[in-house]
Amino acid sequence: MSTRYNYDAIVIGAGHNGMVCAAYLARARRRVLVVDAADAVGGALRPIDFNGLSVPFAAQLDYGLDRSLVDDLELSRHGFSYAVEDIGSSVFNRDGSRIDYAMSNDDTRSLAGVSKDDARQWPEFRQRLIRFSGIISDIARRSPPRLGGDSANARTWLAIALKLRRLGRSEMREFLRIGAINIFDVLEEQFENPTFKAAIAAEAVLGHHLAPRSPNSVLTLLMRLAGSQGKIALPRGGMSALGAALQSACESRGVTFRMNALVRRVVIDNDMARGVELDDGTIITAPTVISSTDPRTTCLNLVGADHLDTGFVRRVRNIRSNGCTARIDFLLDNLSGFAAASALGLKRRLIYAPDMDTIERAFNDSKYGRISAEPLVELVLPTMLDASDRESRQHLATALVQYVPYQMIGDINMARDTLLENTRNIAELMLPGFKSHITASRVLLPTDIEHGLGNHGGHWHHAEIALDQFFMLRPVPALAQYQLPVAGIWLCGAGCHPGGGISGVPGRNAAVRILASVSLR
Amino acid sequence: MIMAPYESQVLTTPFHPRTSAYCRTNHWANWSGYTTVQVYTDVQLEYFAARNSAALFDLSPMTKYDITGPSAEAFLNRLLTRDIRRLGVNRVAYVAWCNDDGMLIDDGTVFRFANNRFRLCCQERHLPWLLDSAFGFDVDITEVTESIAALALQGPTSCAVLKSAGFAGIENLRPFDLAEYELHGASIHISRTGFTGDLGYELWFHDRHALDVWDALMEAGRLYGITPMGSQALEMTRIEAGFIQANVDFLAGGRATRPGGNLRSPLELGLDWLVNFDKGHFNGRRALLAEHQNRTSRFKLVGLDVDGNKPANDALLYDHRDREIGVVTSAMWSPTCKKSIAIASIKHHVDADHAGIWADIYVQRELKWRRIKATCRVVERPFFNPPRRRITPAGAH
Repeated sequence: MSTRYNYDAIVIGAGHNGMVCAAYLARARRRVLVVDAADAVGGALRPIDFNGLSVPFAAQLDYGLDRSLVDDLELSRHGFSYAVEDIGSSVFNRDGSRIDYAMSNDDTRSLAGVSKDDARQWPEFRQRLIRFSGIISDIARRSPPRLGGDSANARTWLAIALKLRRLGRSEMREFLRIGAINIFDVLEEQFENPTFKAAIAAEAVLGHHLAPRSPNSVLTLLMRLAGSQGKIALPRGGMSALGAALQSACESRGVTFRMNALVRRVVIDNDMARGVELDDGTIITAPTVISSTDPRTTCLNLVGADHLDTGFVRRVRNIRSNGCTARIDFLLDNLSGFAAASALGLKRRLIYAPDMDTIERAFNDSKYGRISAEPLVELVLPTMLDASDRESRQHLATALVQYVPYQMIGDINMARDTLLENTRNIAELMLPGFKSHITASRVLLPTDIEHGLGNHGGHWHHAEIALDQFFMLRPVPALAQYQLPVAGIWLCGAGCHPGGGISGVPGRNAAVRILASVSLR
Repeated sequence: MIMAPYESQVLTTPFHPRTSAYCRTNHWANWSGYTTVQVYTDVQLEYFAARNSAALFDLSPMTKYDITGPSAEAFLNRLLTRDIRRLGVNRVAYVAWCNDDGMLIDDGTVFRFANNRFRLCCQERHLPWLLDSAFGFDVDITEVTESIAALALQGPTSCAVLKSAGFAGIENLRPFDLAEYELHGASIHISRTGFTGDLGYELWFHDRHALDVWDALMEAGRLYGITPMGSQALEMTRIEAGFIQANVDFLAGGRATRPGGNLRSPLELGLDWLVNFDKGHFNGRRALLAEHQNRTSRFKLVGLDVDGNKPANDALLYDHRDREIGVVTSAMWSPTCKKSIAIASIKHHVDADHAGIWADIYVQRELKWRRIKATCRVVERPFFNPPRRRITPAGAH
């Protein structure tokens, strides 16, 4: 068979999930080709030039890269290491006051300064969240079962049920109580300081089209904690270094990369994948085609509605995949001007979230097509966090800003300017003097992310993470096993279970599933 | 606008001034939102007109969609189970379409007016499904149910009536042929199709010509025994012809709200011949192919010759060991076949020829109920199938 096809498998998209999937397949001796329209690998990690500085296209920090995958693929042998493994966070109020915290430890010194009660409550609450996230983490690693399926499905359900039961009666009850409700109510029950509550709420909604009062915003928080127990990290050399390490891991196992190659469609014959056709008309053949782009683009553009059933297409078209998070890069000249630079902790992750209602109002703006007047901001200075960049005279600050509606009312350039101005003002409030150091800036709206990565809607997670798009319902019920109805076509991107961020789990899960289903030809 | 059922207004068809004048019984029923005649004078008279002379039936409430555009053929080929690429211009095809699970949504007819111009006629309304199916295809879908009036002229003298009305050459139309005519300035499409299983035609035209066409046909048919026919007589001819009817012999896919297998696949309704697995993808293909390959059909449709003269309507069917094996979906005493006939859905595994099928029939006479165990034989459909139905040029009987 292998002589008949150019490759055993073709992976569309050299994002991290695409490369993770390719590496696992290559590890099992499959001949794999990765094709990508861009000139460099990485997808959201892809390095781009920003006024002479290399910055990742969209990825800000590592919120939960699956560590077992780092070991499996021996990424450390391919130059991967962390510059910082556990970045501390600070949340800012409107008056510039701040509270330091971390989702990964029980340090309450800063919190105790504003509320003794909150400081007493936090460790127990945090540890419970981490415990609960263990359930999610367990679910995340599994390929979702089908209802009424075979014994493997039954085993999956049993394993999840056991894991739940092991929490103990009252803890299980609590998990089931808060699992699907909103983070606003849960935080109101536990804490009193508005800014601290806003910080935890911000962790739950960052990257999601959700506000603190939205249903299942506890689930998204647990999802975030599931990957790395709340640790937020930055690879040495920046986020793009992860892309480079994955590429190296792929290549060392014989994966071929073909860049600057836009896939026009998946070639289908007799209801089976035969390969891909590139934009220039080149056809590359393989019996297995794996798409790391979003499910909607894969199904409707690469495969085509004519190969799918109407009901299925209807569900795919209704996947909620509109992004709401913008990214802004600031180029800064030397930072000596920051009077209290060290005291402020330029090596921290700075969150602007005065209280939960401010986040909620920012969300309301986006619901009606406006950018948030007072947005939620996460600001980091990667060149300060990563010691290997210390030589550089210029510094970089990057901000994630939400909410920015995918479909905006009014002039998009005006919105861009407003967003930049709002973000600059908030950065100035968190780091007084910041504005005067800005020498250049770059605004990346959801539409820009969509344009740059090719995922419909420009959503971080390719598809909103919500209970109706989670586990066996992700992205739609009939696609939850990573497999399209057309034989030989698979999904491995963030739109699949367990979802997005830079975790690599969808890519790994898909590879496991593919290896179990497709024998070596 | 969402309207409560009690707020909705049942409409009249474009022929209402004529149908209401002929309708002596005042027996009307709501058909897809239009009030239509059940019986004009006497159901037997109307039935025998269809079998012995010519019957005129108002089928304007049929749901009609015009489907046009560069991908109209590709769209229909993905929607329907038949290979629509093989349907010639000026031809009509009986078609069926399925949901993702391979369960029948509805059946109907497709008319091909030109390469990129089709019309789909069916029982139920399907605009949302058609529009969703159009995603990814360059196609325009317009519902023309209201603006296109339609008449069926069925029976042995139907061809002669049309000739006498001025439709020259109509006898040369083969079954399922379609032709465009002009009558007193009105453009009329005539297809040699129908629901009676006999020689017959259907006429399609803009509703503003409705009364002129009706009058012209009634005038031309005076010496040929033309008789307006209501829905009850049509139903009799339909069963004799062995045709299945949505929401009678199968539940239309869009109507099912309960789980539990109330829908039927085309393979379970004897429509295997409509399913083409080699034409490329179509809605439900994967499910139907699995059903076909794994032999997982749950039911089959059979025609029954029922002992005695009592119609077996809604009767449950049993085998010789009194195990329930199915149900009668349509039944009647056939005046032409002189026997009690039925269309039934039985369990797929039943060996119909040797099962010793009997129908459990309940009949009432003067409020006194009686139970009849009527032996049934499986017979070929159609029950009534005269050669004149097929002969071209059509005879002037």
